[in-house]
Amino acid sequence: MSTTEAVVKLQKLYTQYNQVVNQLLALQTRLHELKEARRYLEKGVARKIYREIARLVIEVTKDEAEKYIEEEEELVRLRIKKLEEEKNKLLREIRGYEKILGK
Amino acid sequence: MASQIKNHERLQKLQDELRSLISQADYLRSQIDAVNSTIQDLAAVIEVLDYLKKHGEGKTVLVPIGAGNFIRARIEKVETVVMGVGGRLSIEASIEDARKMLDERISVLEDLRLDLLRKLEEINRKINEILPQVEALARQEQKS
Repeated sequence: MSTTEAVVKLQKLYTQYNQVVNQLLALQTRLHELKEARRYLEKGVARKIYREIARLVIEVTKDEAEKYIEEEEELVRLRIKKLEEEKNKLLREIRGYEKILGK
Repeated sequence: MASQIKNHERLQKLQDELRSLISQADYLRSQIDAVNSTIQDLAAVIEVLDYLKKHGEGKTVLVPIGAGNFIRARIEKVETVVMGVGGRLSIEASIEDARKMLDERISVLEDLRLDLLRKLEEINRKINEILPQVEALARQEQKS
């Protein structure tokens, strides 16, 4: 592999890596939002609870809201795990190309 | 010759570090702007809640329906407010509880802003340390 090819490949990998990191940040924010929502539900100040589905806002019970948070958290955690694996794989590839280029 | 190469390498290293610090500072500034804007939004909500609590009941208001158009509506109830709590969930709470929660959010954001400002200050300090070194090395390289 020529140096130019290695540089091009490395730049592509950097872009992919940044995309994965951004997705991870978005998911971590979502996880934090869900944690905050749970905290507010636990405060016991809610007279009614509503859940937003697309453009519709529906009244839900506390149990329904907690179940939704739990399911959503599990889903987000799974996606985070998958993305972390992808991020580590990309990082290993990046390190390999950086070594080739003497960085 | 060897010292020129050494200087050139050091200059490149410092320039890389400087670029990285500048981009970190830009990122922090954008984060601080976002936090400031959220604090302002929350403060505006508190202002509306305080007004509604005192004078809102029975008042006619204009409800925005998009693109600068409004419909007239009458405020029926001012005891409670529906507030978003994240995770696509909203809760209906008393105005007092809502206000407490908003104050709490502002306080958390103010702490965060302070933390970001401290980090920015630290990065600016590092930039101010490195910049004269880069300038001096660049001058030396130009001379040789």
